[in-house]
Amino acid sequence: MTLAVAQILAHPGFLKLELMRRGLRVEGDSLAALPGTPRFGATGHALFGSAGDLDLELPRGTFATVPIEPRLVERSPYRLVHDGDVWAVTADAADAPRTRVKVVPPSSFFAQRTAESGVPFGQIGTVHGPYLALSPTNRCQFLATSDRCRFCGVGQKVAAHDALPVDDIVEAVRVARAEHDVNMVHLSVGWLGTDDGGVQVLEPYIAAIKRHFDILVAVDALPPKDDGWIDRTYGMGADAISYNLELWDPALFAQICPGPARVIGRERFLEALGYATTVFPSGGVNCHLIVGLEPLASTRAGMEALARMGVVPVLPVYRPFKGRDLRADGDVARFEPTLEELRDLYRDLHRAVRREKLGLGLVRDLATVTTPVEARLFSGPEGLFRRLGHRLSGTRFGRRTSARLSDLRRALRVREVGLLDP
Amino acid sequence: MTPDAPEPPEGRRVRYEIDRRPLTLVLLSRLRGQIMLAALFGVFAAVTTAVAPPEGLSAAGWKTLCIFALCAVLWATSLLPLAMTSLLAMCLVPLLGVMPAEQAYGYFGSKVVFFILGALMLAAAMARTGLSTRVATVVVRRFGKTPRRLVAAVFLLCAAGSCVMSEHAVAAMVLPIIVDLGRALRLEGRSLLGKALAFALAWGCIIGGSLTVLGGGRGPLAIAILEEATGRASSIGFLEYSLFALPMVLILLATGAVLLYRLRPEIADTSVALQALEERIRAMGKATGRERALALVMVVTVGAWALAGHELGLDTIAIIACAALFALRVVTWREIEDGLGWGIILMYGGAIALSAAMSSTGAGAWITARLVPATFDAPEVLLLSLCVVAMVLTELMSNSAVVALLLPPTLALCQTHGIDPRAATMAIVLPTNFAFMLPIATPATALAMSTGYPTSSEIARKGFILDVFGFAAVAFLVFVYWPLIGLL
Ligand code: SF4
Repeated sequence: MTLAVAQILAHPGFLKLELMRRGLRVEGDSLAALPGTPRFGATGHALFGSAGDLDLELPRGTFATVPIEPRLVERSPYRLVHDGDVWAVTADAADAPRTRVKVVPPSSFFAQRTAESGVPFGQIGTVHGPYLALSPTNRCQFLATSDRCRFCGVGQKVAAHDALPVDDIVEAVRVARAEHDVNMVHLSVGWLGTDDGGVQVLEPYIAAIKRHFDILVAVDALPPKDDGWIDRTYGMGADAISYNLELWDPALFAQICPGPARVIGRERFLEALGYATTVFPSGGVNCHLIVGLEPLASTRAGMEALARMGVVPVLPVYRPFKGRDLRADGDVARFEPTLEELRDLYRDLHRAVRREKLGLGLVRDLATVTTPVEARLFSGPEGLFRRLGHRLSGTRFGRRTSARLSDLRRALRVREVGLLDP
Repeated sequence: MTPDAPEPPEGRRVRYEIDRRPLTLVLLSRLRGQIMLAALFGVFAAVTTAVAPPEGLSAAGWKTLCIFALCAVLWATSLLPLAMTSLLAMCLVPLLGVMPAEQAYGYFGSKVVFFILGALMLAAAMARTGLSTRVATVVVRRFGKTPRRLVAAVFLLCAAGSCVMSEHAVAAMVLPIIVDLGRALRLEGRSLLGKALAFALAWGCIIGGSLTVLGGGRGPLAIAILEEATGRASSIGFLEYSLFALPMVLILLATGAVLLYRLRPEIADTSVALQALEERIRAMGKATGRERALALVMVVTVGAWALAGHELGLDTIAIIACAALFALRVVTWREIEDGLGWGIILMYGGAIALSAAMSSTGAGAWITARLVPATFDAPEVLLLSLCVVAMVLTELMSNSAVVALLLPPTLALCQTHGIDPRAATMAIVLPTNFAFMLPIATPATALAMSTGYPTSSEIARKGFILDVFGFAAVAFLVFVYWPLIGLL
């Protein structure tokens, strides 16, 4: 690492990357003083981060979900320190400064169970600051086969659950919102073996969430067979959609995600993403490309191509302790980027999305990845209006307004033209 | 869905369509109605309050004219339902101080409103008991021995039916029979026989509906406006109406028959269709007691309208007939209530109030004096030019709305031009039924198109021919027939 520790600590973008990749040590009296007891070893949805992580708000409203479990973070140079109620992150270096952070108390969400089916909330989703992700079913037909995505950790620690009662999901949203400023629910569904990409399974949940809350809903699914389902996804209430290609390089995509590559195919992913941009609002279509599992040049090419299509690229960095650890797989090459490379990548990401005028409001506050909005932290000083706009859109009022505007757009764009055949 | 996929929880499965036009365009088109309404009411408020009445017109007349213009736009654009526009007119008249509220709402008690109410109740009873369907099926079955006779039977049945009940109800009643015939004869979409049957339905209803005041609401409405405008000095009786319209109806029936004859049926044998009708009749079983009782009441009622309409009043006869239906337990109130178009009744009440205000404030006379060119001094030219306006408007808006729109100012002209107001009324009301060209113009044409046989361009082409002959027929009435019987 050639970047100085002081530079990293002073920069919320670098700090988030570092803390998420390397973790944060919480020791001695800091551990004792933490609000709530950390739930080390707690299970959670492996794709989203776990209940054992610590939620921090770094400077400039940057949320980060940071691993603190001693076993995972013993080699991290970063430490959490405190002075009374004032928390800071510092490093082991002699003259390391302290960066003030806010510690978000651990959510009681993980301690509760759904009223109707008694499933622990932690098993159906996760909440980290304003980020709430739920999975009404974590059954995926690739999981028990060789088609399973190689990095996927679903079902490793959590029992499979099928379509939960709608009330359970509504209750999970209500509990999460009672504690956090959640403005978007991410609903995810794996491969169910159907042509609709899981849309029909998600529909009643989305309808119920929209009926009860002023909240945005994002769907994380595999592309459906035909585009009519994409219309339906938007029509039924989803404000954003993710079809995650995960790897841009076709050969590596086929190697790391054999199921999606075989059953759906890269072409269909791109086609569905392109079509979705004609249905969803600007910035409402996104695609994850995992950084670190393919050459950086390939990720960058994918990022540029997606942005040109009108798709917001989301670039999570591969973290071995999230999901399944690929380090033991001899056939899987790793392309771990340096911090400088990541800086340049996120700077270019921010430029690309700005150049293509993509809305970024729908992919903000993903505490578990560096979002394209946060990529602005790497691209130099911002103008006053942009800063103000970002602040305003992050307020409770701004979040509510964006949910209402998104519903208004749907009300204008979507017409119900009858009922589907039973 | 494979067996492994989780069953989605129960929910409504809706089909969606995405409007991909630019959002501002979508917004404008979605809110177009509201924006137009807001603009319209804004202009209305500004003009009624800030603009002084023109010379020769009282303040009350000016306000009435403004209400009339507002309603004309609302009727023409259907920005509000027709009935709502009429009710609005009725409440704006007292609100702007044109006349006291009791008087304005009092017009709702017009005889015509109750005549329409009675006629609609009788029609609802015919539909509810199945009498109308039975009669239609039996007639077509009996006379439709060849394809041409089948078409003629539908044409004449619709025409005759529309003489005693609303043409819309007749069209709705005969449509299932045509669909059955088409299915039994395996008529394809481009079948000439299919087209002929569909046209026979639409034209029969429209033409027959012109012969009596029972063919639709426009006749009674026109008579009510005439009575209000002339202080009840002038009116048109049941038989008189038919007498004034008869030659035109005959000319149009002949034209329709020729046009239908030119559609040469592609099949020669209708036995399969007759068999289908036979089955329909068999499925209906024998005529029930209440159908027989209703048939009797209908015969007596039509006879009374014809013979004693002047003395007893069409409205009184209609209401007594309805009472007889209930007394004979032919229908229940619930059955009648469900089948009644209350909107039509509300529309007439408001339209009559507005036309009375137009005439009592002098607004009608004032506007027509300015709109009708001096060259139209000759009564015949004037009536024919109004006929053209009515024909054009009726293709675009409801025929009753055209009557409510055109008749009050026209009646105001009668005195200055020496025209019998009854002639002016007939010259407006008859062409308002010439909705031959566009499916939006009248439900009968729309239902004919819904059979899938005639295309909209065929409807327009043939409708145009009927419109031309219709105009010629009105010209015949104006220049030859009405002077002959002393109406003009
Ligand atoms: S699609 Fe892949 S990543 Fe998603 S649940 Fe299935 S195996 Fe895991």
